Formats: sequence, structure tokens, C-alpha cells
Amino acid sequence: MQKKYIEKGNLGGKGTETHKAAVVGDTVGDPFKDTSGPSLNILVKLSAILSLVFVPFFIQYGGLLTS
Amino acid sequence: MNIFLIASALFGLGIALFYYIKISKIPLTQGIDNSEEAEKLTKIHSAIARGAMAFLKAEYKYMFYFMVGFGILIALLIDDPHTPEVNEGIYTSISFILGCIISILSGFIGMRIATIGNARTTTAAKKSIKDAFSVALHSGAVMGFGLVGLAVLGLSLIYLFLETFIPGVEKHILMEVMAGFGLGGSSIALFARVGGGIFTKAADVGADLVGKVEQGIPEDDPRNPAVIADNVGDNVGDVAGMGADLFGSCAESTCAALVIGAVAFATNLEALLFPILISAVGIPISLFTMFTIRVKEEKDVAPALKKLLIIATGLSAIVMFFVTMWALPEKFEISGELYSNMDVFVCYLTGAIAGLLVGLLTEYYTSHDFKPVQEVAKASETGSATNIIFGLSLGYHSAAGSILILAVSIFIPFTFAGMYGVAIAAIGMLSTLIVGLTIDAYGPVADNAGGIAEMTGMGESIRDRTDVLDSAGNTTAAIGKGFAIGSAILTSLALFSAFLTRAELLDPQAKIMDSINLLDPLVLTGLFVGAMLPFLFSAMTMKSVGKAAFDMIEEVRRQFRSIPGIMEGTAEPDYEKCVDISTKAALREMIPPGILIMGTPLLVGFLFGVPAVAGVLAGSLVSGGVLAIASANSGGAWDNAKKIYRER
Repeated sequence: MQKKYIEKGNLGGKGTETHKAAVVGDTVGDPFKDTSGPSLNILVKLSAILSLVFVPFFIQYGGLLTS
Repeated sequence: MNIFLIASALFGLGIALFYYIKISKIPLTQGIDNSEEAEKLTKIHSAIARGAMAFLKAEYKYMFYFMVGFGILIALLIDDPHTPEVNEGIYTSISFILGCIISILSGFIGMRIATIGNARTTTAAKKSIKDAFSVALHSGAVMGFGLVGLAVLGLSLIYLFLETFIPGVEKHILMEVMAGFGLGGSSIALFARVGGGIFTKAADVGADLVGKVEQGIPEDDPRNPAVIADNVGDNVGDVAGMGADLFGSCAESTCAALVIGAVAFATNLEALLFPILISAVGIPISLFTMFTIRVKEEKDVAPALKKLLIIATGLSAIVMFFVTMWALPEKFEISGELYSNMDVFVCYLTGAIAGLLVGLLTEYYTSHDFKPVQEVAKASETGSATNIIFGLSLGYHSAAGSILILAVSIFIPFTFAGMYGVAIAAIGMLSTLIVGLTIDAYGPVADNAGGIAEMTGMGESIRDRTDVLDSAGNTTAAIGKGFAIGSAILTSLALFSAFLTRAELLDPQAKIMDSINLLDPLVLTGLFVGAMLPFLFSAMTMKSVGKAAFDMIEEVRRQFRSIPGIMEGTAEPDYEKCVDISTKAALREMIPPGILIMGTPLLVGFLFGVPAVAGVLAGSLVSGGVLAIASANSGGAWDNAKKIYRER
């Protein structure tokens, strides 16, 4: 229902204030969806596998301040 | 077993090579009789390909230094004093470098085929939608089959290599050494995702703000100096970035399952290598799936792509049932608990279904066919502030559903097969990896094809066809993003389990599993520090995009000012300069967040030991997972809300 309403051009087309507001949202979202968001996938995996590989280091030399 | 794995890897690579040759053999200017148009097309096509290669070349230099430096660090730091006769450090370092090289190679293949297939999709669109679709899809298939083929080949080769050079060593040590392979893949993914993400958005924001807003010229206009950088960016972000990310998930979830199952399956090769087998089995299944879809006209495109994913999931579930029953023993014991092969299959199935559900939910929240995005679009009527408020709210809201699905997909495997089950669920979520990657790489090829059609000034009907391909790709790309996030979360949890398993094996007296207690001050403090990391990391990467976009805007403005005849189309803008700005910014800005991710666990472990690291990992996994979903969906929703207003 709503989509048809919009598609009929009721809410504004290119060059209107509504379109400009939509472009601002898109530009704000650009780094969210294509930089910081997907990079977090790497953050959660990389820190975990790094810790897995470095277990011997942690056990042998780690805990400097706690042991 | 090994022979079977290597054979299927080579089979996958053969399929990739077949499609690669098929696509590159199509003449670039096929079906163009106008010599001026042919010349324009060739020029734009080669500018994009050159820009992509220039970025890769600059990035490889950094990667090389990193590989050597970090490889040495691994070799020096991680020898186990209990087994002085085995040089774990050196072998882990070798696995690490192999993981890096294979990830780089698959990114390179993806970028090559994407920059070959883009213009050929444009020219194929002159003929029919069917031809254009098959060129774009087969370009994607090169990436899908090539990457998984390489992953299986790499894992099998490193296993064979270690068997040969350190014979007789306990299987769990062998598998822990193999984890270096996953670390290599993931490290390269860091470059590809963070660097690639900054590159693509600096170019995009720069091109849009000056071109569209200030100069009032349309998207993909050849007069815009940043337009080539923008098109290169689509490939850098969506082909190389997504590919490296999923390659990492595949390698890491496999390594996690290998480590956790190593003690139980030490004498049973089929069961031991079962995690690699899952990826290998996907190769013939995906090939079969590719033949099940037909596209005759415009309306077939979007359903065909979705059908690919669903058929692949269904088929692999059936085949995997028999594979699991064959490869795993009927009853086995891991860390004192008794499990059955049927339990493991349930875990696999849970992961596969959860992946599809998270993907579909992502589509629901980011496609303009559904209510959430339409609400955001309507909110633009009252200005950008309300639009942003609604978009942020949508992102946060979307995290709830996805996280609940993932929570269930952690709970079920954990109750059925413990930590091993979680690792298998993570692999199960990637059961459609080849098809998923094919569609992911198809997206930017179709997107570029549209850009090239616009830039060469081809007719409206060609542009309409490429638009159909592109918008179908956008929908499935949303599903792909859901898969990427979901699999990252499950993989990370599996790695966390493997991390604790290894620590417990290495130092049984410390009773590490028992010391991971929420009331332990080190664990609790670590949890808070970990939960903060994704926010600090996002702050850094977002500011980097802002800074890089600023440089780009300055340059584009300068060119519009100082090159006479640029707006009339009589003089050519300096495209390469813009590619260069994005490249430099990406590589420079990538370093601090990279150090944050890699440095924090190492420093925390060095100063406070394993329980504190466990706290940090758990904290960053939980908050990072939620933030990743919220960020991706807010951004996706704003993008598609804007498209509702596109005048066509």
C-alpha cells in the first residue's frame, strides 16, 4: 500500500527536499554498511584465532602482572 | 581420504578455470558496430581494471612486510616448552604464510574476473538479459569455486606437509599448528575489509557529494573524476573484501573444529578431517545447483538467485547426512562427554538453517519491498534528521531478531555436541559458501556493468537490463551479508572454544576451564574491555572514511576548477589521481585499527594471562556481533530507502 503510494510520486522525486534527506541518510550509512560494520566481522574472528594460535605464548610468558 | 580432498579441490579449481577461460574468451566489444562506442568502452573498462590492479599492487607491498614480520614473531614466540622436539613456532609460521598467500590469491582471482566480466556483461546486455545474466553469474562462479577449491587444497596440503615433516607428533599439536592457516586467512581479510572498506567509501562519498550534490551530474557520469575510483571501489569492497572475509570464516571454523576434535579422533582419519570434507563436498553440490536455474526474461533474475541459495542449502543437507554417518563414528567422546554422529548432523543442520534465516531477516530489514525500509523512506519527508532517527532505530531493532536466531543456533549445537557442535554449526552455516560467493561477486559485476553502460552512453534499454541484474544482486547481497555476519559470530565462538581447549591441554594444572567464571575479577574486567573494543574500532574506521572522503572531495573539486572543458566533456578528468588518493588513504588509515585488533589480545594475555583474554574475547564477540548487525542493516536500509525516490 505504502510502496504504491510512494511509487506514484506522491512523496517526491529527484531533486526534492525529501530526496535530499534520503541522500543524506544514504551517505551517513555508507561507512556503516561498507566499512565499520563488515570490518567488525574480522574483529570478532581475528582476535579469537590470534588468541588460539598464541596460547603457548600466554601460558609460557603471559600473566606478567597476575602470577 | 587425502587424495579425495585434493581431487575435489582440483575439481573446484578446474571449474573456476573453465568459467574464467569462457568469460575471458568473449571479445570485449562483441556486438558493438559503432567504433566510437567501442573505443569508449575499451577505455573505461581498462581504466577500471588498471585502477583495481594499482590498488592491489600497493596493498600487496604492505601485506608482504606484514607477513614476513608477523611470521617471524609467530616462529619466535609460540614454541611449547613441553614438546622441545617439535618446533611449533616455525611450522605455525609456515601455515600462517600459506594461509596468507592463498587468501591473497583468491582475492586476486576475484578481482581479475570481476574486472574482466563487468564490461562483457554490458555488451552481453545488448543481446539479451539471458546472456548478460550468465556472463555475470559465471564471473561470480570463478570466485566461488576458485576460493573454496583453494581453501580445501590449502588445508589438505598443509596437513600432508605437517604429517610428512613432523611425523609421529600428537594429532592435537598438528591441528593447533594448522590453526596458523586460519590466522593467515583472517589477517589478509583485515587488510581487505578495513582497507577495502575505506577505499570504496572514500571514493563513493567523494564522487557523490561533489558530483551529484555540488555539480548536479548523475551517478556514473564520466565527467566525474572520482567515477573510476568509485567503480574500482565496488570491486575492492564487495569482491576482495567479502571474499577474504568468507575465506577467513571457512578456514577458521574448519581449524576450530579440527582443534576441538583432534584428541577424540586422533586415530580415525575420516573423522579427524571431517571438517575439511564438508567444504570439499560442497564443490560438486554447487556445480549441480548451478545447472538447476534458468533465466529467460527480466523477472526471472531475482528468483533465480534466491533459488540457487535455497537449493544449495537443501541439497547439501541431504548429502551431508550420509557423509556425516559415513565419516564419524556412531559414538565418540570429547572432553568426557559422549556424542553420536546423528548429534553432529543436527548441529550441521542447525547452522545451515540459521544462516538462511539470518540472511532472509537481513533482507526483510534492508529491502524496499518490506515495511521497515518504507518507514525510513517516509521519514525523509520531514527531513534528514527524522530519516536518520528511523534508520538508526531500524538497525538496532534488526539486531534483536538476528541475535535471537544465532543464540538458538548456539544453544542447540552446544546441547547436542558441545563445543565441537558449535564449530560444526559454524561450518554448516557456510554450507552454501560457493553459491553465496558466486552471488556476492555477481553483484559488483552487475553494478559495474551498469556503470559502464552509463559511462559509454549506451541506450536506455541496456541500462534497464543491467539495472535488473543489479537490483537482483542487491537483494541477494543483503542475504550474503547476513551469512557473513552470522558465520563470523559462530566461527568466533568456535575459536573461543578451541582456544580454551588448547589452553587446558597445555596447562592442565591451571584448570583454565573452571577459572573462566563471571565472578572472577580478571574475567569480568576483560569482559568490559572486550565489549568496548568494537566501539573504539568502529570509531577509528568511520573517522578514517571521513578523513579519506575529505581528501577525495578536495581533489574532485580541484579538478572541476582547474581542468577546463571538464563539464562540457571535451577534456578528460584525471581518474588515476582519485584512485591513488583512495589507495593511499586506505593503506594509511588501516594501520591503527589493525594494531588495535591484533595488539589487544596479545597485550592482555601477556600482562594478565588466559582468563583475562577469555573475558576480552567474549566481550568483544557479544558487543561486536550486535554492533555489526545494527551497522550493516542501518546502512543498507538508508541506501534502499533512497532508491525508492529514484526517478525512473
